Amino acid sequence: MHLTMEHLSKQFKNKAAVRDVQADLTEGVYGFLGANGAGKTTLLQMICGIVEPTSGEVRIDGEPTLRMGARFRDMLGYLPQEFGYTPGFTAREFLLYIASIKGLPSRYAKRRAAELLELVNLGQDADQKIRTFSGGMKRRLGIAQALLNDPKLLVLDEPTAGLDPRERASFRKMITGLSRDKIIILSTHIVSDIAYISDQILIMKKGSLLMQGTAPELLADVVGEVWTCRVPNAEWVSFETAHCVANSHALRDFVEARVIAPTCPAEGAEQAEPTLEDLYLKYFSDEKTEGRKSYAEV
Amino acid sequence: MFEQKRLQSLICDKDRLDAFIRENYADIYRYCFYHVGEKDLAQDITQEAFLKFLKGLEHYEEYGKLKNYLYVIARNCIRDSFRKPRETALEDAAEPFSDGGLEGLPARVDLSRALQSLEPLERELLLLRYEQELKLRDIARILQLPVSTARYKLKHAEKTLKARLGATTYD
Amino acid sequence: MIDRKLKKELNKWEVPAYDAGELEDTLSIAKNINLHPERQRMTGAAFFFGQLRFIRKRTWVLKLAFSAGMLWLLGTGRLELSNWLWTVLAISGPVLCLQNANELCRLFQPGLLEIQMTARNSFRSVLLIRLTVFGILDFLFFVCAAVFLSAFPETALWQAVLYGMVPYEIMCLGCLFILNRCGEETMLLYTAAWGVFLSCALLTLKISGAGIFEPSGFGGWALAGAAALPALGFELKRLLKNAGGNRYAFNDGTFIETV
Repeated sequence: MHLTMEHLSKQFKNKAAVRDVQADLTEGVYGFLGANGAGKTTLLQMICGIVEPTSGEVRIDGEPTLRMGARFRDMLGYLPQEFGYTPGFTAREFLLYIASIKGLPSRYAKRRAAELLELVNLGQDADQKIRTFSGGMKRRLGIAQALLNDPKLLVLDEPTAGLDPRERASFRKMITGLSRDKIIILSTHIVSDIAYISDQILIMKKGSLLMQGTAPELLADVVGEVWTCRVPNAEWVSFETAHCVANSHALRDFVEARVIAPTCPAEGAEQAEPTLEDLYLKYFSDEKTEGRKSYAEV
Repeated sequence: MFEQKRLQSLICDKDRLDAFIRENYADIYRYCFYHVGEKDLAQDITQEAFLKFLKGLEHYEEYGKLKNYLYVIARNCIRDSFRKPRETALEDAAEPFSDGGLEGLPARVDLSRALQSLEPLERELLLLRYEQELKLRDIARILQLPVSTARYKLKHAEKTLKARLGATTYD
Repeated sequence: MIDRKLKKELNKWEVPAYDAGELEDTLSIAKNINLHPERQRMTGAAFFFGQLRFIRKRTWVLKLAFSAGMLWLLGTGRLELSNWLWTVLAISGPVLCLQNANELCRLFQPGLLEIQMTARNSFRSVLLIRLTVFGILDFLFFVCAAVFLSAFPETALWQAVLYGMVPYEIMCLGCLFILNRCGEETMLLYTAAWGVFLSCALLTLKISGAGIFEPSGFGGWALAGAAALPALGFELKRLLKNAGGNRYAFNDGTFIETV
């Protein structure tokens, strides 16, 4: 199956949310990485057909999704960034309602709902009202509803928001465990969520697709630009404002820092193995970080 | 519409599927036995028929009802079994629906002879109507005949059989 | 027709019983065949009745209780004509409509709306089912009310029809207007406020002696009813169209500056 985005753009009044995104996805896990406001949510909404593009088209195997209508929605599972539910429902009732609008026969729906509640570890809370759920539980329920119709295209917008590290780990495990015959699209601004499980990573900034590729391919862009060095305490403040610092650890006489810079930032600095976080910082450090110099400004 | 619902419940509910097989096993087995005459072979064909039926469930619509489709599959399986080379030393020139089952008739030799004198189609109609107790409308769909033809042929078969039996000791 | 004698003859044909083990064997193999239940989808009728089950019991109870109560009040002539008969009928409309709006608003929760828009059965059909069922129930109520009221000597049929349907129409128009334009969080509040406002307006006009229920008021009522109808159609069409998605903007879509 091919999901193609052709010159997708969305203009809201005088603000451009998505600009000319072009991509071709086949079966596998795709991580859309970008800061808040990068246009990820709008792009995902266009893929799902709930927001009409200003220009461009989304196609499945060549056929425009807007024309496919119910047939397209039948193969789609979507979790919005803000998960909403029918007030007063329990988790089980909610899943049965969603199963009903997805067209699943009620006998099968009951079984499937029970299965998915176990999968997301909500089995024992199935008959509790959703309003009593924590944020993490609600998110897990949201993932469960997206899987009800065994979708071929799974679109999850910030699925790990509000999950603790253990929940994140089991989410990653679940995604990897899902059958390989799906296109799974995840959007997040947390690098570690998709670093290992994505087949491809797409980086979005200000509505455009900056780059797309496997993790090693993208990392090639930042190879040779990640350094670890030790900075004496006295020089630390000026060093920090002058460089793009990924991490720092204050020791007794000096500060150990991980820096992203095109050239050697300090004497004795050593090259380090780059990670996706470093890549992210290289491109996103200019967004709202107080006092820190962005990579571009160095 | 109801048949579609029945189909969905068979697919979605294993218990319903179980019940369906249990309800119909005996009938299909008897039907097979009437045609092949051996218990083991009849059992094999019955199982084969149910499994083939399950693998092609959606095709029931051509025959109106799920149960009709089951009979059609059974008929096909019976025909296929006659095409296979038979290991037993039974008749070399066996024909499908020539009803080897008839040889298994112990007591009433005259019934056996009377039945054998009928056309295969007429025997089949009698079997489905009298033994399997199916409605004429369903029989027509299974045999892919117009209802009027089925009715006419069945009446003719009944008359012929009664006459043949009456020629011996039939009161 | 089965010939009984023939049947008796044919029944003499003995068939050996099958082995129970063979049946069990067939059952266990059958269990393992994957029939792909996940590919099954409901028929339209099944979906319609399935949706009815998700309308809160409370809504059904309130609606039926209210309708029955009103019909009893109107039909048994406990209300004097000059005083409250028409007022009660007129206020029934906004109350019934408010009950409908309450139930519909539940579907418009942010986050839930997007999920419903990406389901196989379009959100439009989800809305339509509810609108249809409520519409039928309310219509039946007004028909019964008209029938009961026309039994009274001083009432005219047109009065029973207009005094019931026009406030209902106007209430519906207001609610649809709100559903089409307001954020999901405020819908319930605004529709309730509109209902209260309309009911109070009717009550006030009645109490103040403005004579809205005089037969001479026919023209006014008919005009109001006729004017509201196309507007209602327009708002309804808009609601159903937008329910299919492709909205201009979503609350949690984020915006960034153009460079």
